[in-house]
Amino acid sequence: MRTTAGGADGEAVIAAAYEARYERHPAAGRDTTALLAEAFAGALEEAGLTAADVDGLGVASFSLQPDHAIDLCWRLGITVRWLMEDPHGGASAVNLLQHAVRAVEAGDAETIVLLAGDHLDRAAFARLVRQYNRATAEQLVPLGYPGPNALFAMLTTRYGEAHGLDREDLGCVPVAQRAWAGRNPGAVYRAPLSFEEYLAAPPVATPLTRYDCVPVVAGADAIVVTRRERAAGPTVRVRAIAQLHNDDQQQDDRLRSGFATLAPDLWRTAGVGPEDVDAAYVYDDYPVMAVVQAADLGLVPGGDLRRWLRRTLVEEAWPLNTSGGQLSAGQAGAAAGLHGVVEAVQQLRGRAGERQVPACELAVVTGYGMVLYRHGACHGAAVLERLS
Amino acid sequence: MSTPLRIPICDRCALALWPPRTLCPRCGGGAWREGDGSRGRAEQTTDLTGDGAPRLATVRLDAGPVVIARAPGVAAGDRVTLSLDAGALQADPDPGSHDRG
Repeated sequence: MRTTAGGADGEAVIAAAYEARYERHPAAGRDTTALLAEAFAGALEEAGLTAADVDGLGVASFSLQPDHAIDLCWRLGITVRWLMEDPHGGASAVNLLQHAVRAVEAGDAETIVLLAGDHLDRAAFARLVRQYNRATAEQLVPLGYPGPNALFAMLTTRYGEAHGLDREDLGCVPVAQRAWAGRNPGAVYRAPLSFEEYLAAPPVATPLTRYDCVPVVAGADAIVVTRRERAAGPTVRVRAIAQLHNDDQQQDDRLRSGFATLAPDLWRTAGVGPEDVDAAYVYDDYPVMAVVQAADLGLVPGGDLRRWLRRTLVEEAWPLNTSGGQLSAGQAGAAAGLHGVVEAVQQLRGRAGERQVPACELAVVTGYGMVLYRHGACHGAAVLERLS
Repeated sequence: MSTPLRIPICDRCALALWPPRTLCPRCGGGAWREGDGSRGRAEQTTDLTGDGAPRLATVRLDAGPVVIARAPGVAAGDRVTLSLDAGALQADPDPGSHDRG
């Protein structure tokens, strides 16, 4: 194995993606490391590569501690010359992808596996929520703060009032995504969700109800980033990646998010526009955030949110979060960011089974998260393209 | 014991902040004085479910910062007074401000 950078003429591609099955109640032994190992092996098999081909590893996980990326290398038995760990939850996947693509292009590594996964039991999840950062522990927990539902509830009210959206409008996101989940055997909730059921659900943090909040699951995701000549079958190229973090110091109302600021650069670099994408994967930790991101990225024609929600998403089943998203497939902790990338890659590679979007050649995927005090501070987006 | 909210104000550019930061996001200054942060207006509220679960509010302080506070009896739009009660920021409606539920 070479240990110095070189051969900076490589074209980096995503060769394959894999999701280790999401479960609400995993069997004993299916712990965080086991889930990550399952995703690692699955993605390499999809790519037609072996562990011996891997010379780079990146990982995102809240529950891997006290282990780090290097411990994972040891447990997986791999030797690497590129190593990263990203603690930024839902924003980690796009960040890791940006670094991995650059590393392969520069010759710092040839084949990188990016992993994200978590198995958070009830106690671990409660601990994560309470100790998410210092501001949470010092400012929010003393209020009786049960987690970010409360903050996104108030953002939902603010956004709904500003745009004249009622509960049924915002409910279009979980209802439409549940219809996609029905065609994804990997989603934890697959039964159709009616507007009646959605509206009748018990409140969690007004106005949010159960169906506005993601089910916590155990699971893991993986992608393989390698040089184009190493990949077999259809591969996926990253046309553009843009990120923006802490752009408002937690002071803005977030009726427009950091995605509105990064979108012009993203599309200019990609050489395509939002009207060109065949599918979109926005970070749906809450329905309102899916709407904010779609609007800010320019995916909503004319900015007519209500029409886009009711007609485009529900009636026409436009491909947004075709796995069912986190809202129906589940949120596996820090894997939530990579989940969208994996589904985009499966669609672009034509591997999405019953839910395959016909002629899916171009997709946009986002990462979002890391609530500092009032809302997420991290925004990342990538435009992905099928190479044939 | 509850005390009216005092907030850090940048010594150099007078930006008011809550929660406290290390460096001022506007001018980079790192020296702070204290100012009044006890007056504001509730913008949104949310009721959490479960035994003894609180109502929380997003409150825009007259001094500038937008904060999250425990807000029993507060409705959106209310003028409120903010205090720190055993480390918890609490918003109480001003008498006569409460025009809804």
